[in-house]
Amino acid sequence: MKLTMNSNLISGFIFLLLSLLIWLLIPRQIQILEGVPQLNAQTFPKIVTGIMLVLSIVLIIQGLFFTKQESGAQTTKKEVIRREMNAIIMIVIFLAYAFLFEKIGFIISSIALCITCLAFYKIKNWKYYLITITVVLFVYFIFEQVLQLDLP
Amino acid sequence: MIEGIISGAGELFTWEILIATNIGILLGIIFGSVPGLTVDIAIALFTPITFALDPTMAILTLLGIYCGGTYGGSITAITIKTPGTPAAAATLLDGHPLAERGQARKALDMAIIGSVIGGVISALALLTFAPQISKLTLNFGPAEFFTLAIFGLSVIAGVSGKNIIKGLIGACIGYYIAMIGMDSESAVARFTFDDFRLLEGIPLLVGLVGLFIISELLIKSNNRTNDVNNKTKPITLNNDGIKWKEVKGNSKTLFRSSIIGTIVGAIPGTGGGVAAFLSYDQAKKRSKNRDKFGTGELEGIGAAETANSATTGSTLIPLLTLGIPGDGVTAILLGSLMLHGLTPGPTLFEDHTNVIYAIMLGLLLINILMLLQGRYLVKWFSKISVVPYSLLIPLIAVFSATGSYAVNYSSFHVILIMIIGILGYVLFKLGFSTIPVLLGFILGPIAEENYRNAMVISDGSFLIFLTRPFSLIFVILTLMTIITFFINNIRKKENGDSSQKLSQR
Repeated sequence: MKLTMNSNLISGFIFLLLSLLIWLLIPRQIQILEGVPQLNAQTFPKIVTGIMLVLSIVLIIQGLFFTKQESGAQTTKKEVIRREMNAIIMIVIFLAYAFLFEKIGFIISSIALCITCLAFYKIKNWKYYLITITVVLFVYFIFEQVLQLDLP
Repeated sequence: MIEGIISGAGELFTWEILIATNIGILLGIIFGSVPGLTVDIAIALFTPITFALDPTMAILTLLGIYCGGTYGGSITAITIKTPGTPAAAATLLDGHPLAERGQARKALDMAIIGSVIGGVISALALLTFAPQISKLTLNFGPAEFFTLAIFGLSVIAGVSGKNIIKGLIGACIGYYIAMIGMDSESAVARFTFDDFRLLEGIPLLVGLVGLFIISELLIKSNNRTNDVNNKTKPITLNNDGIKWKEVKGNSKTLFRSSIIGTIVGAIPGTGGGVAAFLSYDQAKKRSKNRDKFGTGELEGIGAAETANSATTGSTLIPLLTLGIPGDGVTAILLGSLMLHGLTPGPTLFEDHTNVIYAIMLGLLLINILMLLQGRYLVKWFSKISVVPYSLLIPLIAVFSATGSYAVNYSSFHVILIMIIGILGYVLFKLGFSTIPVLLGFILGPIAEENYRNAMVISDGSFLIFLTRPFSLIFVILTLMTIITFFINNIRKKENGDSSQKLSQR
């Protein structure tokens, strides 16, 4: 099955909802002090949100009336899912690395990241694993000893 | 100006700076040569690493990367028919056919000589014009800075994607990222969701690394292919380099291309790619050998490569004097300058005279050093393109995390780069470019601060933006940019332009 998508229409709706959400959140997330003049910390965010709201509506109109359906270079639904799954796996790897960075320390978390990434790319040559591990140790040395920056 | 040059020279000629600049050029050439790596990534990646250096050394290292990368893109364009940077696409037209005829060395020599001539002329233009323009900006007040920031946003938002509406929405997203944290004027928290770690805001560096590196790695991960074994055979170089007679014969083209590149580079929103094609086209029209263009004509390589490198100095004119980046790479450089306390604008030339003149003179030095590296290390450079990208992904991620952590010794920043990277990836999938997001991030807070100050001065009247001459000029320029963009888009649609399907980046 060939996948068609109208990115203008989709993004128009996403940013319309986002601007409405931000508009509703502004009074809660930006508390202004009493007695502050009309021009305050909420003013500019409200202007920007108003602009984004209008732009989203323009994008929806563009999507509805002026955009041809993009059939993504003969991409099948299966192919799109496969590609996006790869990115999702990479996102999980990166987030896990970020959360473990301080908990288990720079060296162990970074070596684990390198091994996982190389395995993700189905690399079997052990030399590449050795190269990345050496670079991690080298980076640690540079930051700790040369630049005098403490890593976890 | 003379005092500035003397004090800048004093700051520039030290061993440390010479070494740092050379390393910068080398890194730039490497990043420019490896298909998949870009100068954007290189500057974003090395900004945190140069954080510990003094501003002159740090910025010259980054400029070395910028110039080296602009030249480096031509190496793979010539040797393996893959331009390392978009600006090198025109170099490919004649560079690769010449390499296929067994004269890769000659093509590479022409590319480095053209790059250096273009770079030097452009650096001289920067040194001559930037101080004069900065004097003009001395009388700027909040109204001018606000309209200038809006103009900067409109220019880049218009050129960095196929849809200006998406560009402008991207700029709004960038502003939201910058808005998080304590409001600088009233000290109230904005969108921190009661998390104290967000009170200090999202550092520029974190945004830079997330938007340009992590999102790029995620985009690349779509194609999960093991590229370790499919090595491209590097081209072998013989010693048949370019002869002085051949350079001299093309001197007119090289000079004309330098001027074209310098002028195009100084216009915000253009960049090296536009300059290279424009200059190539001019060279072809005026050449006696116009029929041979596209089959390996040295003049064609020279025209393209000289023009794209001639933008490197002149894009810094609007960047350093007005804070308006000319293209994506200079938008990232703007972030790097600000991180080193060198906020572009009129005060930059007053408060940091030594550093600014050292940087401008340094650009000349970079081009000379690049000539030496290009001439003597070219054999190694032509082999770089065989480095597998899958090997680099984890290493780039480690560098990014380390650099972001080092800003404030905060592992929260490591988490933030990943979250911003995911945002960049989603935006890419929706057809957005990340450059307007970065510009919104940098210029948004400048616009807000100056808008608030202008409103206080004018007692809430918007007329302040129209009654001050420079402010009015920027308003007109902004409107012209948006209108021109729409007209061009309508024309493209009418002509059934298929380039709509070109990628966003």
